Amino acid sequence: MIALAILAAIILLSVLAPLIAPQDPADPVGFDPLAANRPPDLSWTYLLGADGRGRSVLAVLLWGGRTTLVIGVGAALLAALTGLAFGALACWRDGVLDPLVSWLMDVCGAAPALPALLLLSSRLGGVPAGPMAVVLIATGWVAPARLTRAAVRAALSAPYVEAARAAGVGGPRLLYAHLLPAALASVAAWTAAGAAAFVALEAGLDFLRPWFAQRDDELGRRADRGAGGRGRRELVVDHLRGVTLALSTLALTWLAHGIARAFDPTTSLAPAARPRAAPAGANSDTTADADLSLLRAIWGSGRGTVGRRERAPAPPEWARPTVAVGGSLLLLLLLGLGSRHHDVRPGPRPDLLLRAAASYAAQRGQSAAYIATATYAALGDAGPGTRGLPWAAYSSCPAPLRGDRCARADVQLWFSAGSGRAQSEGVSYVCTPRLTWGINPMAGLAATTPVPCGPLGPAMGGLGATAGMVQRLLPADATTAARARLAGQDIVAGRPCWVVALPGGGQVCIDAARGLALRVERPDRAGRPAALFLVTGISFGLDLAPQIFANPIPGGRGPLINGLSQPLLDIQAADDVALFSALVPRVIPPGLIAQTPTYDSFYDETRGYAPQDRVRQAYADRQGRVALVLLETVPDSAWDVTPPRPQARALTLSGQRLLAWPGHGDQAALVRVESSGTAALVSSRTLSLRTLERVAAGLR
Amino acid sequence: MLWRATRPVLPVIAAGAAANLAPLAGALVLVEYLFGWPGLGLLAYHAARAGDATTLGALLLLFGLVVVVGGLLADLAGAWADPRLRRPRGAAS
Repeated sequence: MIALAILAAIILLSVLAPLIAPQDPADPVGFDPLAANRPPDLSWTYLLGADGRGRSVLAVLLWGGRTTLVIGVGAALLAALTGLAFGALACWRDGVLDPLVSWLMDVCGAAPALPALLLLSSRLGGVPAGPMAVVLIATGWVAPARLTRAAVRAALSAPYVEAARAAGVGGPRLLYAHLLPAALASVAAWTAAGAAAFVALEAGLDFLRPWFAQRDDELGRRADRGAGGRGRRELVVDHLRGVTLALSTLALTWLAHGIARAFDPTTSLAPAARPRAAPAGANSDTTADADLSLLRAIWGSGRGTVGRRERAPAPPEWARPTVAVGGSLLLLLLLGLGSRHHDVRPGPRPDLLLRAAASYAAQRGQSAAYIATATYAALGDAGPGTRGLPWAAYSSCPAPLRGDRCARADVQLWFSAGSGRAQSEGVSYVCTPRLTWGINPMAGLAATTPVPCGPLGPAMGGLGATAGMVQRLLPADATTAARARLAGQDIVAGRPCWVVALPGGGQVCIDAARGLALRVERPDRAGRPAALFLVTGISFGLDLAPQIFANPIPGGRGPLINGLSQPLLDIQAADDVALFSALVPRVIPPGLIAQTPTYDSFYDETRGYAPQDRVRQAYADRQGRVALVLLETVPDSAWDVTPPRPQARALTLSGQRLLAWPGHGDQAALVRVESSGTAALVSSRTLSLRTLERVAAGLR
Repeated sequence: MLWRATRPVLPVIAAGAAANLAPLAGALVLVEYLFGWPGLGLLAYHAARAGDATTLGALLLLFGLVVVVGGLLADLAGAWADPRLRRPRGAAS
């Protein structure tokens, strides 16, 4: 059967994907960005060409198939088994079970699968493979259950069941060995068709991808602008995944059709052996003959004449359902084994990332002297940052979906400020979404693009000096901001920016997309402009641009003329900030993500600006609500904050002395710890005091 | 004449149509997203995107209600067309 062959080929290719795929498309650095949109040629890697990111389409197809097939086919098999069990249960005895199971079938059958999956994705921020399969099974078991129930009920009145009962076959055995086989035909056919439906449903969910919506828009649009538009070749590439999807769905449906035909005695036997409809008014002999031949048709293999079948030893009654159930379990096991992800490669891969960064920069005509060096450290180890970076010691990767893979990249950016040179370091997480065959209209880009799934470190946020820097670098004038005016547009470091002429002299070029100052100029005494701050260029191997320029001024976009606020003093201060925070949290409650630090991480409302004495780091949950705040200061300095509330409970946890203030009502719970010359205050309105104590004890 | 011929088929057709209602909700979301038609499907998509679990739960309930009511109507139509379906099976007719 052709369908079986096609399906087997697809499954085999997917299972062997780790061995035969040319690249691992989930590896953020395993591809060559210069190969973007490459047409297919005869090399194994680019047999089907490359997509917009330079990834081999063949690799994407092979790896994506694993997830899609496992979820689709696996869920269909499990749903079929569940449906068989429930359907048989419904026919157990004429008691309370039948109405109960029927009611359950109505309830579960009324729930639609896709909206349920959408609901799940809105709570979890994505749908991991496990819960998705559970939802598919929970809504899908109804159809095979109905089929089973109908078939078993019909078989209950058949003469061979009566004969079995007369022979003394009891309840469970009767059900399993004699009644279930009657249902196997239709359920087997349903399994294949259901697998096709589940695969299509999973692809449909991937198509919508509501949890990546925000990133889709940003990354998709920005990458589009960066890549210079989409050519016709891209469309073909994107549709290859859809073609594979369609092919597998077709094969599965064809298989279902074939199974149904194989089990149906009217089509599977040789014409001479097919049971004929009993003529009207037949006597009991003819009816018995028809029943007997039907019986033989059910028990026989379906091929060849009935006579030859009689001579062969008949298989035991329990053979057929055992083969069916056992076979499906075996197939599930194979699928499960085949879908195991290999671990993210351990050890740094600076060579690859450097190469990618260099090629990316070269692609944009930027000088290679200004390159982001990054090291790629796999998250196998939960140790602190490799260079003792603050805020770099996350113990878990804040990946949005559990099926995704996450890599941590420590990124350094250098840029010149006047005659000096400063550097900042930070940490970025790059997540690759789970690969499936879903067709995403953002096309290949957003669906397979590494998505930054965590914030950058504080120094990176400080990197993009805010437009408020203007106020500090120019002659102090409180009303400077109010009198600034637009003086045109310019491009600095490849990013369009608005030139704002300031009344005190000088001008600042503010990034059009993110409102950050890319160039700040102040005229010297002779009136000639002397560049004070200039971002000469940015290059990156992974598309970190959206996060590099994460807007630190809340609610601000575009030219920021009003609302300038106190930013960092200068770039060197940004560096110092990176060194100030000596305490690194080693324990963070799960589900919390460090927010990109903004100007007010270093700014105190009452005492002003203190990048070297005070830093505040906030952690937010997935909904963006701040759940935990970590404030580090120099103890007993002017910036130190000691809670004024009198009731403090002193305790020692993991060798650290802590002072704890429980929260009341609106007031946050606070824990203070002093360690290695730094005082830290951990506060939260929502988390419990125990959690805060553990976080504080984990600060080193 | 046509009615006499098609009358016994009505319960079967009605049952089939009711069975198609459940996957309809899922397909609705996809189709409305594709074509941009303002409707419950698009609402479901935007609610999922915004993390609005309340709306999604309400839509889930609504779709379930539609399926159940559709099934009821199908059963009623079947019973109207076929008198044998008007009484529970096994009862004396």
